[in-house]
Amino acid sequence: MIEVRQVTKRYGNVLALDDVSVTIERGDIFGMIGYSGAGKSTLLRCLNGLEQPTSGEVIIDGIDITKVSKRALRQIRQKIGMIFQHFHLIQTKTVYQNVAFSMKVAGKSTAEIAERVPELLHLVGLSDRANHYPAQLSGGQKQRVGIARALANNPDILLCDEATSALDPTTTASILQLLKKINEELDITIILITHEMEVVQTICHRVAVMEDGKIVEEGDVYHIFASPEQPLTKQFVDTVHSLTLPPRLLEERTGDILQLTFRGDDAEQAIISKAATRFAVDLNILHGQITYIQDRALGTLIVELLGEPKERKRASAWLTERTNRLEVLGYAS
Amino acid sequence: MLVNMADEFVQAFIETGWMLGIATFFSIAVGVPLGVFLFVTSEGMFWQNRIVQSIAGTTINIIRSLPYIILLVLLIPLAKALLGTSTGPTAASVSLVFAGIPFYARLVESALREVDRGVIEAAESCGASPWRIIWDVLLPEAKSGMIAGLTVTVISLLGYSAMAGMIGGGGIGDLAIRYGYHRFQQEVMIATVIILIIVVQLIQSVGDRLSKKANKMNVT
Repeated sequence: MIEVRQVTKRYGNVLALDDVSVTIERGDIFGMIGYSGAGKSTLLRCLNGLEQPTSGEVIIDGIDITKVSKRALRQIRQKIGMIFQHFHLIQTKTVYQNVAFSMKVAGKSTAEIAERVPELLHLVGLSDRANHYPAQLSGGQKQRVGIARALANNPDILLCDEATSALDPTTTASILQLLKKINEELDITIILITHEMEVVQTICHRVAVMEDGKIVEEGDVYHIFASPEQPLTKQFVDTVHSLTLPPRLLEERTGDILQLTFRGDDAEQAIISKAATRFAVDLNILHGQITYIQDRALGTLIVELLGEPKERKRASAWLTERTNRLEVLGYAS
Repeated sequence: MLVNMADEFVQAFIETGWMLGIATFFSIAVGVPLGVFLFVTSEGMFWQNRIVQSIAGTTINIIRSLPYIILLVLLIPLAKALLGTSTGPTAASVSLVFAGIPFYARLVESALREVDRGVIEAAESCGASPWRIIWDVLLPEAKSGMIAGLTVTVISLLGYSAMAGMIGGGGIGDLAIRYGYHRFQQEVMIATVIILIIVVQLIQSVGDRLSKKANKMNVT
């Protein structure tokens, strides 16, 4: 378990982290999202001591890593892997030697290294690239080497610093699948920072939204998607789950325009048709989207509600009770 | 005429080789550790130390700001104390060593600056100690640049060694001055110039080849 307690980090007059506290459970995939300069990278680097907080505690499995000696910190780091946006492989070493490097650091024997490195390369799907230099690999392959290097000493935690931001969408998806597999099969806690909500949607269990050195909202990813509270969180959610109607439709409407959000197993169609039979209204579906987050559906529907004002009001109230969220985008003119 | 002087040329060649050999050996043996030291004590590195930085930096700059000819004269007493004599190629090597070390140390330092900070950080995140990072990351990653720097250093030292004739150091440059300049034997001058051009070209192309081989950024 990782506990960040009231961590503050200053660079001169700049406050990079402002009294941040967060708890990350073992086995989680925890995302931190924010725009650049939000402090997410600084926070991540505090978790393995690459950055020393100005004040506060970072407790990993009961040990406050801000208080330990440099030597002890190096020992702890062997159990915390890290991967980077730009991979940071040693250019003059082969794939094999790059992975072996982190084992040499941990004092492993040549025999142990010779046994473990091929296993790791097999895990990340690079068995045939052992003797290649980083310059001979694609971005996705380089990141796989980075992952193999980070996993070499059987870490408990894997830190990912914008690990997919330099990759194309297909490669990003394959790297994310690999991270998911690592989390599930090797039971490694993953903490990743990103500015892409899609990454959070694809693999994270929990997410913290950061702005100006603070965590402004934190929670279960599905919950954050279904009911974002902060404007910034809404912005991020909108990047992967949002409906935009052509302005013409809003202008030419004759009824109320409602946006309904459904969670999980809510029977969307049934609610719409029930509303239509129960009240003297017509419902015209204008737009709809269902997003799957951790295999749970999150649906959004934009409907036009037609009928007498009194009936429209009753139907609206009835729908509000039965949906997760109801937003009125425009009233009948 | 030139044929009669074959022995003199061979002798000069050996003397130049001897001076360059000694100077290059010490430039590497002392210059590399000094360059690494300068780099790892610089701002943001693991042994960051402003006082040590400025003392070492200033010392190097002082030596480097002296023209070689002055350094040569200044160090005559030191050569005498060390070797018992102040003349000959070995004595001349003392000042070449003093010129070569700070020169190469600076080039090593700048080659190390070219190493991607992120790679150093990644090694730190693996839990690598400073020594491990120096040995397994910094030196291999900077090797290509350090070889290129060594090429420049050796060629500069070759140029300096011509002045060693002043204190009887001998060598190719000295031959050119003695025969070509003082005795107006132009053929000797031209012959030595041609030899020097060939030697410099040779050093440069060997250096370039080794440097390219050490660089794995563009392997295909």
